[in-house]
Amino acid sequence: MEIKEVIIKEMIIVTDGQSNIGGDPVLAAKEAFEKGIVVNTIGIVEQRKQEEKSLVEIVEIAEAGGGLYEYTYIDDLYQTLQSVTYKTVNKTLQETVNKQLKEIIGQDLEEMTPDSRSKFLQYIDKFSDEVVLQCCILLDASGSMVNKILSARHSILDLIASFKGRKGKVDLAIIIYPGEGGESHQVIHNFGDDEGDLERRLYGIKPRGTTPTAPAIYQGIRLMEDRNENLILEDATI
Amino acid sequence: MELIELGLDTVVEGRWRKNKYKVKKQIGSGAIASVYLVEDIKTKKYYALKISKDSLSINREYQLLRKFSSADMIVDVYEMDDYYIKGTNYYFVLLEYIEGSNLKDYSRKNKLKKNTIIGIILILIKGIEVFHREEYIVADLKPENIMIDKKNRQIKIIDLGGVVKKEEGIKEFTPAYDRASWKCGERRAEASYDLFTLMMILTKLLLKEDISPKKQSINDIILKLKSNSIGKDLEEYIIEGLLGNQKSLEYFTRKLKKLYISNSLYHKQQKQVKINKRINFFFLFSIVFFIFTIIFIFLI
Repeated sequence: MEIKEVIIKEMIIVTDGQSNIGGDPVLAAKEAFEKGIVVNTIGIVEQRKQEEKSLVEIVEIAEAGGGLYEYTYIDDLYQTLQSVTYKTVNKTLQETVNKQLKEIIGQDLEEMTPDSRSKFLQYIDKFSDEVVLQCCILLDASGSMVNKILSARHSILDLIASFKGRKGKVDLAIIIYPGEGGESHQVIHNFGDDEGDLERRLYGIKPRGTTPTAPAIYQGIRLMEDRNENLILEDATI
Repeated sequence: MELIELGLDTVVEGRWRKNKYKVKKQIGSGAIASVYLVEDIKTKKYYALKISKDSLSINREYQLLRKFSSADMIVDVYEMDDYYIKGTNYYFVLLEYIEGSNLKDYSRKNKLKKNTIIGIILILIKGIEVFHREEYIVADLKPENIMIDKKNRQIKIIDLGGVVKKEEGIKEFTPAYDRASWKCGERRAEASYDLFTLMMILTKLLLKEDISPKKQSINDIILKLKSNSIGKDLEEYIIEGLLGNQKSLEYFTRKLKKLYISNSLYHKQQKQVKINKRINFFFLFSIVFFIFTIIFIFLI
């Protein structure tokens, strides 16, 4: 695949705890990765509490999903959302370039001298700001997130503000889990939806209930597949 | 992201250039890289080694440091190389080692006078102008990345991790100095973004306390400035810089220079007034003493 055709597909799971129902999120993440979607996870920890044991799952999900995992305090969530996204963009672009280089000259970036490497790295650096990014945020809205949802909301809005500064387009979707009325998840913003509504919908989230992560991941995969089909159709009809 | 940890006396050998550096101590660590004080085994010279698993970051910083190396305010860079250990490739740059404290620690340890602070900001503006001329924005300027080199009486910027080309997206930022976090503008790479950063650094140095956009609003900060008696002129200047930062850097530089000069004159005046007061006091004292002496003589 040509580097110019690359679309970065990323799923970010933001959670403060363990999934407790709905299937195995690690398997779901593996399926996402097989479909070209990188699954990153962010575990929200309380100040100084030893919660990392219960968040071991986020490491496993990220590993199965070919993505990164990070622990963060709720106050720093927006920076973590950004850094995890940009690291994914850079990593994916580097992997694409490496594959092509290996095919063409039998070497990848790591095997080159720093000077030869630098031209490619600078190109990737510049292109990382222009590449199309498709990002699906899965936000834990279970009972334990009650005190953190306000901050999570601000973080997401801040992430969107940052994306506006990019040259390249960003396609964003947000799924909360669980959803309203006993549903295991709810799409509060789909790719292509009007952003004017987004703030209001984010404010409407009322955290309660259990944490069904796997179904949310499957829904995210579906949204992304539908989106890409629609985009192909759009291109075809133009 | 896992940061590499280099133990004391570890010898880092560059994979390509084969130069050897002995680790003396860790002098910094960030989200992406760690920095160590190292000794070149051959020349015995000291350097700062910045090492990371992120080759893109290290390469970006190396290219920027080289591009702006002619500016005094930018720390010198000597080489970029790989460190291959235990099957993993790490990437490092070798930098000039600056002895001294960064501006954050320096301002904590020393009670900085108002005019000293203004002077520091004026010097930083000069540094920022170098980047703007080349169509770059510094973006992540903060006291932790500014070194006070006492020996050579210089200020040096040691981290260019946030530097981006104008109109690109800002990827690295620190909330306390980021105007979007304070709802004073967008997080976009333009000159006014750097201006806001400078105003915040100026504010922080004057207020001498921690400020956070998560706990305070920009109006809280403005109220603090007003209640701190830094002088009406300086107060108005900073408020204009924080809220109306769309005016040019040149405009703000001019105004700040004027403030600096009028402040030094004020200090000179104050000093003179103090000296005059002292003279008056002794004069009065000597007269009173004289009068008492006369009275005393008459009484005897």
